[in-house]
Amino acid sequence: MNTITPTPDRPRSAYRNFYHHLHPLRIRRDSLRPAATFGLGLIAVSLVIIIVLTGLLLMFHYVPSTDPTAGAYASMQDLRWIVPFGRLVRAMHRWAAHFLVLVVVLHLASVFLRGAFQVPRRTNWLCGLGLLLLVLAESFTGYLLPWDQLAYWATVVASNIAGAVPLLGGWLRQVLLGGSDVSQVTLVRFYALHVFALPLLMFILLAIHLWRVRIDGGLAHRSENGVSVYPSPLGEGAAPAAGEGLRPRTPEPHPPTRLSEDSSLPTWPHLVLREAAIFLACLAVVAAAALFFDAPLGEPANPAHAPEPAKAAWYFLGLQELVSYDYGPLSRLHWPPWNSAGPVLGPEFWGGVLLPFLLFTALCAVPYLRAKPCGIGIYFALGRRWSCIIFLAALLTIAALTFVGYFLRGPNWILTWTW
Amino acid sequence: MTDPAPQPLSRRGFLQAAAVGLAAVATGLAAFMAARFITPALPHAQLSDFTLDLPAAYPEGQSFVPTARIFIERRGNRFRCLSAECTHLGCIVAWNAPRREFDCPCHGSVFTADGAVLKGPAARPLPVLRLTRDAGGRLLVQRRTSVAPDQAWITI
Amino acid sequence: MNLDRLYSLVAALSLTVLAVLLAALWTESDQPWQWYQKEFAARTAADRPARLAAASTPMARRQLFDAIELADGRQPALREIAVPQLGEVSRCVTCHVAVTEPLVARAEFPFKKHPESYLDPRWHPVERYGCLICHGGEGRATDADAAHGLEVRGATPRRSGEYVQAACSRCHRERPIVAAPAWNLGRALVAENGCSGCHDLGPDLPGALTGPPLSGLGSKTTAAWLTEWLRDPAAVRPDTRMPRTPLAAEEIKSLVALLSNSRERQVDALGDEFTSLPVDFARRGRTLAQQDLACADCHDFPGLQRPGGYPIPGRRLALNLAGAGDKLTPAWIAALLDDPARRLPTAEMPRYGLAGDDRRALIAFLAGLRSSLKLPPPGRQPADPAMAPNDAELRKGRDVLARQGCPSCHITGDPTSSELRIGPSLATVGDLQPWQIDWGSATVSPGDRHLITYFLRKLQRPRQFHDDLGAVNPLRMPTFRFSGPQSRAVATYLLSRSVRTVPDEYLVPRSAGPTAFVSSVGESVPGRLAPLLSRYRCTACHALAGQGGAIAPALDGLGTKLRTDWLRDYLAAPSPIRPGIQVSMPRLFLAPAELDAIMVALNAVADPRVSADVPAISGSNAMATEAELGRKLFLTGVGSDGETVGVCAACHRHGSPGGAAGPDLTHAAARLQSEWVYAWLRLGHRLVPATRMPSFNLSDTEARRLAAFVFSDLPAKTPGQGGKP
Ligand code: HEM
Ligand code: FES
Repeated sequence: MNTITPTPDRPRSAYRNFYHHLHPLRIRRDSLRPAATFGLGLIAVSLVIIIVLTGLLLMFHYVPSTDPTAGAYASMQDLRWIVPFGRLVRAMHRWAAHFLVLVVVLHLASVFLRGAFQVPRRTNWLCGLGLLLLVLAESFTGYLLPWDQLAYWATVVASNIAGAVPLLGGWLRQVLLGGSDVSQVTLVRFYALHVFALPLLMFILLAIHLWRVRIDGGLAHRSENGVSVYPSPLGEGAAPAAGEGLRPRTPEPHPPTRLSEDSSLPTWPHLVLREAAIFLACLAVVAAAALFFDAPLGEPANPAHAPEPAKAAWYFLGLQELVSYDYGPLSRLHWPPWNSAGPVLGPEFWGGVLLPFLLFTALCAVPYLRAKPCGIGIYFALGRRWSCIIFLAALLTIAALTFVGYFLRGPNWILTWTW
Repeated sequence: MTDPAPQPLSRRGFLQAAAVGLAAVATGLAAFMAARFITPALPHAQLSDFTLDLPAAYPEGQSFVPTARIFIERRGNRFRCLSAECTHLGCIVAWNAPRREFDCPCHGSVFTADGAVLKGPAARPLPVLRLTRDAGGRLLVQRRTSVAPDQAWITI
Repeated sequence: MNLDRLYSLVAALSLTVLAVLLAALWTESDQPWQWYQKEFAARTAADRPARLAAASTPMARRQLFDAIELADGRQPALREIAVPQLGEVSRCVTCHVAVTEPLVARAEFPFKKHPESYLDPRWHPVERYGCLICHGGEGRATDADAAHGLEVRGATPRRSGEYVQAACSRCHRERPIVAAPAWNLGRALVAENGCSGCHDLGPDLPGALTGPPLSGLGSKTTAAWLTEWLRDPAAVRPDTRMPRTPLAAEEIKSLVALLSNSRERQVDALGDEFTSLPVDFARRGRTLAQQDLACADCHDFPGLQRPGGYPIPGRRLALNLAGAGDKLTPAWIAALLDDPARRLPTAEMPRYGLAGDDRRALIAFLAGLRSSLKLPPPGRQPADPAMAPNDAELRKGRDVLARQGCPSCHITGDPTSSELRIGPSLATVGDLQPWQIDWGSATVSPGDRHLITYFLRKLQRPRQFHDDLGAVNPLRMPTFRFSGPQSRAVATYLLSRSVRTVPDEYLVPRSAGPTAFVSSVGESVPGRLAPLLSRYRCTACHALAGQGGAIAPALDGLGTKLRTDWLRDYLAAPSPIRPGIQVSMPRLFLAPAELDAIMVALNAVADPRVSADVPAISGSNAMATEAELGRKLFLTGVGSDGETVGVCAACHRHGSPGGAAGPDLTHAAARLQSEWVYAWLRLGHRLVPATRMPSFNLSDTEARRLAAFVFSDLPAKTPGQGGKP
């Protein structure tokens, strides 16, 4: 075939092409068990779809301006009071985004505890970490857009944390804010990031992520342990038909293996129906939550008066906890350390920059710490006992910090026991 | 695909139809709601009536009032108001004093001082708008109500 | 899970989604404002033609069209008034469908019509002012609670009733503001109760000392009276403005010691002269006070009714004199009459040129005004060194004085006392957000947690909002005895203390007073006049060049208005000019030389708009005909071109019978200069902005004829008799 002639089958084949990039022909019965991954990845994808759709709708009304009467805040008020279903759409976007953060973290935990980050899924683990960062960045940039008090002050605090990054901090902060203060310029920058730059990156990474799941032989499975040959990227070992286009970039180390008839099921309709069910369930839950709980909107941003307490979104409260601690003698160190005239490395550096950075580096390094894969696809595999314990401890610490930040911090960030 | 084609009204077929049908209805409803969502809720938020100046503020002849997009014509103590929006595709016509006609810059329509079409593409005359006075004596124009050409003039 | 169950699951979940979406659809289509609009359209469907005819403002017509379309089956639609100049969008009219609807007379909310006068298109066209500037609330909201600012943080709760008047002063700079009685009352109360002594209230009411000086109290009154007074001022004089300060008996004792320790040698030096005066002296004094001195115009007396009520509603100009004899030593009364400015710097009391028996009679009368308190008569009290309090006592007294903020209202005469304001600034108190209010440890239901409630409760019982530190740092605000309407008026005024501004084009200028031209008469005149004016305290009641009181008319331009001979007689023995006036000019008992000096000075205060080169008005025969034509005009109101200009006789009389709303003009010729009358008829409000007389835009001929008529029965004016010397 040297010319591309449109055939009646072309749309169809395009669809199939798309389908097969994401789905194998057959799928292990084991992977369809709800407890295999708890469907967390699919839930995340569903939420992303909901967020994108509602986000697109919101863009029809949102005005990224600080003008009190015709700008961002006013458009939030209009969504709330005059746009038909405005409340619903806004709250759906908001709650889906909150759920997404939670679900992605749980997804990460499930991948970790199942040992699914090991060869051959190391690349995908990194890809996933990239997605985690993007999800958080989306949340952060989206938080400013209503231009209410919380939005404004959370951004002030966060941009100052960014400013605490050694060497790059000052520049980073200026680039984020488009100046030295949170202003109209900042709002437009955050808007551009939130609705275009970050989603674009996210789609690219997400496409790679999902494609890699398929390339890497589907979900991690216990049967991979001790096998030196990995399952075929194409599942049931058929070579791709001409024009169907899936040509594996990485032919090594994937010699075709067959999934036996009784250990697997055709993905159509078995997987697809489950995907549909998960999406619908997510939609129902998000829409119901949005129906009953309105997305909050505070007072309009007021640069002259910080609300008490100025709290970020819940998933950043762990971080806010960390920057509110006294790091004792550490916070008397300078940057660079030998220059006592340099800026002091305060809590915003230790808690806001260094600790998260170390944590993230550790997560990136995880797949490379062990030479030989161990306990792939098995929750809490004995061989990975200690790493699981350490991981859980870290996760619980973060949860505890978040809990303290959310529930126990009153005005002036004072610890209070409210019940 | 892999399953054998279901018989009409088999249990499987019914469930399939129900699932697809309900999902389609839900999608349809969602689409309707989305359409409502993007339809402006206050399309006519601007008042269609404009309070203008006192009659004395308008000189003899035609004066353009940008806020209301109208022309006020004065002859002595008589006043008349014409819409300045071209009836072709909505551009603002300009008063050509020497030729005593309204010219549209966009596609060349020409109207007489009374608003009648002299030259297309416009097919309808410029509407004559109802002119009244408010309690303070200022002129008041109602963009929404046009009047017959013979009732165009009001005397102050 | 087999496929059948999977399909059922997908079907069931689709159904769930559908159900949630339907629920959303239902909530959306069931909002109160939609109901209101339908209801209103139904109620008013009948009388369309009448309503169309009556609708005169754009807003009214808009409402009408909407109502008609609604009745014709259109869906209810949101409505708003956008006022970009003010940065406001009010959707109030979505529910309040009839605000400018001309034919809705009486209806319940939200179908009520707005009180007409405020929305009159001449003053406040709704398209230019919107709703929020006066009513607060959240204009973008379309559900009642949110729109009324009851749930949204950051929105001012809706204001109604008199509190709406808090907005007037955002645009109006004139004082008082014509249509804002509650605000005016609030402002007057705040001013006279000396609130700005303790609180910064911004430039509208700069700090002012409202109480008498505290120095020399030992010579003015007795310790017994002071003790009684400090315990509860209102028990001694029920209508006093001095609030009750929370004082312990101990504190009162040290305060009294401190205060009565201060004596004034000048007063003491007046000696015993007045302690025993014949009884008929007191009677003579009473007549004097009632008649010539017009004391009762400003003071209350026991057994004497004021004819007209107070010039500012609810506000007395000066002290109630009941019980004055209990309090004041005769020597001090004498000192006061001799030099009121020195003894009571903040009061508007004029200085009378009383001497000899007149002076003594008045003092006898005042010293005889005793109350039921049975206090010892304040005779001459020699300074007794043995009774002098010790230093510790004095220090204690000073402490109390400073802590309770007495210097806010009184000059203490004590160099060590602090003059700092002891209360928090209230200059922007109207902008306080509900959550910024410090309710202390008081229990307040959440629905009551807004500013107005706070003001009202605070004014009622000022010290109820103390916090846990109450014992260490007690609240010190004294209790004022405001009635309900008074509290609300004060709250209204406080609400208006705000940093919010309006665009310049919205500002209503302080009416351009005569201050504009007084400087043109030359620097020397006010200079020459100043010492006289301050000696007789004329500026306590009259303003000159914008300085001075507002109790009586301003003095600017008098030299070109009044005839010198008349003014001279008037100052010597004033008699009321205008009917129904409340404060009359007192007889000042001026010495002849001083009268001359005042005459010269006042004559020089000219208004350049009243020019001397007016066509001669009286004298010639021709003028007699002119006067006759003027008389016709006066009575019939038919002008020279046959059009009706206005019937003067409706309000004035001139020999013939006529109305009494304006001054009687029968003797106007003796009082006024003809040039001024001519200018007045031509210029009207442009000459005297505050006048109640309408401007008739008379032509030159008409004005001349009317002036000729007013002056007709007078002999020809000889130069030097009237006009400028
Ligand atoms: C926007 C965020 C993300 C989305 C939408 C997403 C989506 C998915 C989906 C749909 C799968 C298929 C398996 C399943 O259903 O669980 C998957 C698998 C996977 N994800 Fe993610 N993911 C996201 C973030 C992450 C993160 C933060 C990580 C970890 C750093 C991660 C690591 C992986 C790995 C290693 C797999 C391989 C399959 C397995 O579980 O064995 N992903 N992801
Ligand atoms: S718009 Fe005027 S001619 Fe086309």
